[in-house]
Amino acid sequence: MTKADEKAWHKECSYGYFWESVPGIGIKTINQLYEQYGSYEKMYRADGEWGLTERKKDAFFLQKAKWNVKEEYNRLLYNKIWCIPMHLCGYPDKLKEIHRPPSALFVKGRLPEGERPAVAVVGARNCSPYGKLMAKELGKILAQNGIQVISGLAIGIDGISQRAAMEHGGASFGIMGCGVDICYPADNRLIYEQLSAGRNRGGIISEFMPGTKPLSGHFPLRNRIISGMADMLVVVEAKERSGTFITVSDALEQGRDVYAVPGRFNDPLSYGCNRLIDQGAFVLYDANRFIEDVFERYTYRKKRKPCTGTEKYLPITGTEKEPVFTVNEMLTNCEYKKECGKDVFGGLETEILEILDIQYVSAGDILCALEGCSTSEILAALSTLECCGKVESKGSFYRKIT
Amino acid sequence: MVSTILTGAVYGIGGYLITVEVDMAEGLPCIDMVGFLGSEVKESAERVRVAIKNGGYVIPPKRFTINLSPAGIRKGGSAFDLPIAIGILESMGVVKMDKREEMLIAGELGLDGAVRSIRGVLPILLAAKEQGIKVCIIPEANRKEGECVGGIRIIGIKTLKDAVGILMNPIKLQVKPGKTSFQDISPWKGITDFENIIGQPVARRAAEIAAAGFHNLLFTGPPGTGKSMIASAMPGILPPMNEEEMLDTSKVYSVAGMLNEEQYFIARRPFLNPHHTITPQALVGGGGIPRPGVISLANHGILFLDELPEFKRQTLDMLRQPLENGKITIARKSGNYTYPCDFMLVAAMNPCPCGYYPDAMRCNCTDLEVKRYSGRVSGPLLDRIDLSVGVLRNSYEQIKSFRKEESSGEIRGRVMEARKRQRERNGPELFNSRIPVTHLKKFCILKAEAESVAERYYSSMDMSIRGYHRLLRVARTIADLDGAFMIGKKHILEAASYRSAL
Repeated sequence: MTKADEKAWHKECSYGYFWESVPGIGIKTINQLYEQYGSYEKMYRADGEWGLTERKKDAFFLQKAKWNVKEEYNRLLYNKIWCIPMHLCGYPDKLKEIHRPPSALFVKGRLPEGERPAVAVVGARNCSPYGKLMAKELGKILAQNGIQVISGLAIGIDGISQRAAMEHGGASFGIMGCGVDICYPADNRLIYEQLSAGRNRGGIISEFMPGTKPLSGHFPLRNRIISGMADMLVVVEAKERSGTFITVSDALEQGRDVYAVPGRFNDPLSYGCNRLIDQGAFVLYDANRFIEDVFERYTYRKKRKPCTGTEKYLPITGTEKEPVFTVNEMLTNCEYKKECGKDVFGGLETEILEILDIQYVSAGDILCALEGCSTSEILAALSTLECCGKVESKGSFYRKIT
Repeated sequence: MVSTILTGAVYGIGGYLITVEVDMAEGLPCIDMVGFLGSEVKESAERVRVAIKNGGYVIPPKRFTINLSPAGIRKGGSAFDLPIAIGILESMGVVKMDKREEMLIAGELGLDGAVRSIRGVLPILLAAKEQGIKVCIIPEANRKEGECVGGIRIIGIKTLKDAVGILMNPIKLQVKPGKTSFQDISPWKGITDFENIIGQPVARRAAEIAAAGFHNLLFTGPPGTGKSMIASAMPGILPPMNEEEMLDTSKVYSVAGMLNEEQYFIARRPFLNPHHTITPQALVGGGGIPRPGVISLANHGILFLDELPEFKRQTLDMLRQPLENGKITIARKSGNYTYPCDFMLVAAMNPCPCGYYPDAMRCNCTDLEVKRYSGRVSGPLLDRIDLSVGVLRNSYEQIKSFRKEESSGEIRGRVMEARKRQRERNGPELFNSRIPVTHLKKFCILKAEAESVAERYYSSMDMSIRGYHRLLRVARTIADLDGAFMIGKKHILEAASYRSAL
């Protein structure tokens, strides 16, 4: 994609976002129309001249009346959320193969890279110490081998493995059962913030419109995305009856291999895993063997012909002069624009800004880092920054506002 | 024949004189007492009768009527025993009183005739001095406390017989003004020294500012980081009390009955840290005839409330009015009682139930839990706290470094300098934190650049007017510590960093 393509891409995205927002019009209708018109914008401009039911037309016109395409899309971007409709480039190839792929993805941060393997780690929410240890270990191994971790950001196995991956410098992706702007569960605030800040840490992904509440019905749905985005699924701990099995059956349906971490006999939290093994799941008993397997799977998938579907991409062109970049690169490198560029800071303020992170840093640590500055100088500098909206404070903790 | 003896009692924090009138007449032998008396005063008749008998005197079978005047005020306490006994003895002709209008007698009697200590000697004697009393006969146990008044002769006695002996020997009553003797102890002995507190540069600085301007201070931070330790070291950097403040505070302790022979005067700033289960009455004062509460005992000193959110909300909200006015008025059936309570509030709290918020690596609390926890402390109370600072875990470099930390003495030196500047500008007794709004414009002069920063801060941080005034007062103190006449930009900015942490 070049700079020129980017503009066209954004425009299509904005109309894709509109179609996503129309209640009562689902993926089926959108796909049907897209096939007919070949562009989200054209679909919009066709103004209901398509052969659909009256009810759907009504829904479209109602939404069209109250939705300002450009404004709404800009607001979305301002909130650092991306909307990537299914038929545009940037939408993960892997997801297109699955049954009922989401018609659009909302992303905070970035999407998983197609060029690197990805493994989904799922399991019980109230896990045992053994499960915790395994989740931690898995997150670490995957991160160290450059494999992306996909999970549901839930309490328990999901969060622990993602956190471990994050701590070891790996990328992980949280698939949410609510809008990407909502941190649910709130306990995983730290991971949520890290991931949604983007860069190379990973991203928060959801098929639901921003602002959607975490309703219980959403979670089984998002499970198909967890397995769909991954090359392989690992179940760490699961009870006899567990929501994890929804993900497992999704994975099997999508042709993903399922690995299970074996547990002890009569341990209720391992019952599900052991049963999976009985039913023919792979057993995770050796880390190296497992990693090898992941890469093998991945290359096998790569060799196969990518997507057979009828999707029409926006052209990925590029001339010698103009650099070409993928959507994901754009997401990764995007610098969010923010007003407030006029403030000119002194040397101390700039130095402090360099030290600060998006996580809270204590004033004591800043003092420690800047040897030779007096307490009052630094506190005054921090106030200046806070006043300009560059820094946010909680008690004597400070963090950068990006 | 009616014999009259002067004695005193306390009402609130003030003392006033009472005349004990004793009449001996023919009639059925009994002792009648009148004059709006509390039950402990009514019981006094029995004590006096036995004490006189055991003193070796025989009470004639006559009718004694005793009146305590003015009769309109309810009287409590046990200080009337001795004047009643002397009155009875005088009407019996055992003692003879000269210059009765220049003499005050107060004390409690035991059955064996021993004279025991009483509450409120200091305010009573201060009132007596004002009324022109020259000689005071009080229990020996209260003598030192009484001598602090100065300019008045204090005679301490141990038994009823002593009193009779002194009254019968006019030479002993010769008026020699007593000498003021303040308790001579180092005001800083036994207080945690700041040189023992490792790291915590921000909290130390806030403590220094608070001490210099007598600002209220809140420490927020995880458990085990030294909030309580810094608070307990704070009396060591406060400027020493002047005589008036000492007398003021000693009066409260005298009324509360907390002075004794060892500690007969309050010469160092009090430091009170009540447990969080304290009742509202114990905190602000209460009782049928209200006694001063903890906030009054902390007068001119520090009231330290550790684990602030654990206090009952109702208890904490009691502090709102006293924090504003520096005094508390308690209304009871027997009247309105006003006690001084001009204290510095130092509070410490965890930011959330687990204590580590907002350190996301360690805090497991949900946003709701954090909100609920800090919500236990009412906003209006927090609004009265000038300085709010996070006490944080020291990094390992700070712990292992051998840098010598500043001692309390060095910090106190700067505090005293700043105090001097305040005195020159504000007038003798006005700390910066107590500058009234009407004088803010006069005392807190901002440089032009500071003005623009303050304006910007005010609008961007949605401050209240009170918050703005608080900012000015704190900035004034920081400028005083800096030796600056006008408040500069850096002073305002630093003051702004001590805003509410919640």
